[in-house]
Amino acid sequence: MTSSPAGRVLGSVDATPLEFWIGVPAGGRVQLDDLVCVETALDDGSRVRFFGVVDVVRKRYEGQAFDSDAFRHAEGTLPVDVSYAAHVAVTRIEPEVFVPPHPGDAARIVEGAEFEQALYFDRMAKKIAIGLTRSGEPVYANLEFLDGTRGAHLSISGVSGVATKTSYASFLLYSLFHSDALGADAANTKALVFNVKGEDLLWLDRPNARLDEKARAGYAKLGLPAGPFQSVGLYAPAGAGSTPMPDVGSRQEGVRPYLWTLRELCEQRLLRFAFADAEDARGQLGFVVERVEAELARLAKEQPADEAGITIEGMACRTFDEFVDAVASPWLDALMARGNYASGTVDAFRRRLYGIAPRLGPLVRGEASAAQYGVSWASHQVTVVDIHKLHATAQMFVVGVLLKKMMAEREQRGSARPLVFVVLDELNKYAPREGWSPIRDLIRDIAERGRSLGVCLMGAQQTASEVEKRVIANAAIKVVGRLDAAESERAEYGFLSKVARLRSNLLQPGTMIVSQPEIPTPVLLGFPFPSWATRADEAAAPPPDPAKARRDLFSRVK
Amino acid sequence: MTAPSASPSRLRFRLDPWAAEYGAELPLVDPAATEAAAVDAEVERPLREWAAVPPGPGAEEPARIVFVDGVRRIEARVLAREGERVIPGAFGTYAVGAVVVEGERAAWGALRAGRVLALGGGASLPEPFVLDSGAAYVPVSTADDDPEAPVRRLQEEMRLAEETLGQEQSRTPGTLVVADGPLRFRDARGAAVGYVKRLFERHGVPLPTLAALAPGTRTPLIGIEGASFRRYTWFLRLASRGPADFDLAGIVRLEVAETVGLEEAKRLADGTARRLPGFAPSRTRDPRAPQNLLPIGALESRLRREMGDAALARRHIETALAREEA
Repeated sequence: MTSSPAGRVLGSVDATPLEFWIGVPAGGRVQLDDLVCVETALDDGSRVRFFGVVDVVRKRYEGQAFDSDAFRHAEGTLPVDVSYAAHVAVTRIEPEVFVPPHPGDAARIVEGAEFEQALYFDRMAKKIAIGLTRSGEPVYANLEFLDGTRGAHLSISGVSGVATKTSYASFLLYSLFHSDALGADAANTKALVFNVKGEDLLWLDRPNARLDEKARAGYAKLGLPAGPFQSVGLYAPAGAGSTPMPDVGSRQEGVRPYLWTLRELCEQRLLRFAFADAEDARGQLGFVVERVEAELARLAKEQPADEAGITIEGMACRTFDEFVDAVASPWLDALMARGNYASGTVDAFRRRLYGIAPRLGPLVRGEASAAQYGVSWASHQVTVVDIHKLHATAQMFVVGVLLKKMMAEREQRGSARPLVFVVLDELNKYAPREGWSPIRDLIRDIAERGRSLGVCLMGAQQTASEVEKRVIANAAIKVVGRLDAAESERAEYGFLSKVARLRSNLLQPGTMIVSQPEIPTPVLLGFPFPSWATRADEAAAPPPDPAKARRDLFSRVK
Repeated sequence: MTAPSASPSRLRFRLDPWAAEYGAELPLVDPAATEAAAVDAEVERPLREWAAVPPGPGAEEPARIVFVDGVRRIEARVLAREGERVIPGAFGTYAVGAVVVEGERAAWGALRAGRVLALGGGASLPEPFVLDSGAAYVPVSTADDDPEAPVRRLQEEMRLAEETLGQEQSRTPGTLVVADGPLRFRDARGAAVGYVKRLFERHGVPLPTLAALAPGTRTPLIGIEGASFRRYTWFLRLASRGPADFDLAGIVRLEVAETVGLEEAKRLADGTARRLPGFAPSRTRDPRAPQNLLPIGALESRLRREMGDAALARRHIETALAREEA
């Protein structure tokens, strides 16, 4: 098949193996993100193909030196030639002979099999669909860089509200779980998603009533069904009421409340996560917390395992307030007297403990029924834990406790399969670059060891420059949505080309730039509108329950 | 690779050692510009009623204007020996082209380039001289054998090509061809005017009359005897002159074949007075402003590109000649 070329390699500027310019003929069109292929014949008769992506396009009057010539031409007094050229950043050379392309060689826009070659999709044994190019071609990522085989973790950066970080993370989960990317592992692979903002993620199990044909076509191109998540467990923090009820706004039905028992708090040494604020880390407070934790763990071990509460010095604690009272009693002084602790530090601990009591009260309980309200991420493919209404201290506590539990579980299992994906937004809060917190250590641990333990962190943040370096550095796949102009100049975004940095400043919602290890250039892509609901008015009615429909029918007959 | 065509009996050219005229465009004195005899200044109105003529109404007339121009250059001068005779020759390239202006659109018309090996003294070559680059120089001949003869011959080739192009363009109805230099072809329908940028001759018009021309106005028509046919000519001021300029700055001369008739000639003269000042460039853009009209200036630089790189051409010629010797 020979068609007229989309362009030809220019000879007026250097053509190199890694980048070159192509001229576009009159009437032709080459736009940003087009993938092109140039074939060059060598003297020995062999041919080399250069695949690349267009990252700059420009037009100018040729041979005209005056800006005012634009006006002269518009008036019809000056004839001009327009030079239309596109810069190509080479992604692949086949075979790998690093000669420059020859000026005048034809460039064509590739599609189909050659498109896949240009972006190395043909070399990906296991791939997952991550979006569509603007021309509508599916883009894939190599699953081996997510599942720990060759790398793990994914990092998404972008301005809140515009960058659609959460939507993209949920789209990636959807693609993972509703394609055959995971193969035989699909059934056991789980995802733990923290819902940090809004209630967007509490509707994953409902189809989106606003899904249009265009979005459906997008899913079809990606080989995905257009529907809700198939297996979702929803958890919201227990409210303050005596009977644990999920504390959520728009959605009640199908949401389970979660809380921890006082016994778990003591036995598993979870108290530190209630002191996770940066200011708590200063001074000796950490040692006091550790000492108290150790003593509480010892007490828990002595007491019957089926008790939800804990008894300290004869005081049976059934609520967190009672627990705080008991810990803050002279029992604490007696405990501390054995160590060399400044009394000021002990007082500070007491103050903090009273401070967190109202925040954690509903979440940590000791009544007999409390034991049944844990978060179990094993029972669904995707488990959403809502923390958006919680106070920052409680948010830290929940994230810390769940991640610690997860890591402990993985360590015990000692295998990298099945995989667990952890989705957490606002990493700059949980794993800040400056300061210390127990959660930061945990997240860094996940980033560094998660690959071998089968935990893949999908972290999101407004600014990667404020997140612990090693967390960002360990992410194999890096994604940016709309970036703040100053932020995009930071070294953390070195994977973006100069042009990509500029473009990141004007990305529209639903458009991301993805960098993955195998593709030497970041790829701009869009992802389809969610086929699951993201808020109440999008949630289509759940599919009718046949049994209930029958009952309704009979009730009318009666 | 094509070797230069060589035959044992043909002339062997050598570079003229010091007459390298890189891309020169020396203004050759065109005979048509000077052969102005038998002036009749009263064809439009009696001399005592002479005054600047502002154009009549008809703002967009003519609607289609085609500017035709050509450029040429010598790439290498060569010499050959034939017994006692020294035959001058020159490798030269010319390009001619047109700019078509219709409404608010100026676009390239045809662009043509040609390469010749011009030989003096009536010498000739049997076939084109082909360089390694593929460029083929068509041999052309002139009887003169003075050193400038080949250059004149090249100029003649360019003028012929301009003439052909101008005639082709003038066939489209409603067109006015503005051909660079004195008019070379007789056009009965009034579709072509000659545009002379430099005033060699005032054709009897008093200097004060010319100096007093306001921008966009012309002199009355003058009947002149040009090369091979009679014409009407008129002077037109394109733009007001600068404070430091000589009185005649910004004035061009136009001419049309007498066969179009006086009324048609007046109509054309008015048309040029209306339209051409709009194409005058500013002096910051073009040192030859305002005479070197924008389309013509643009055409010239475009045509120079069409001719290719002069130094490269010369290099190839040197290589070919050296190889012939070896």
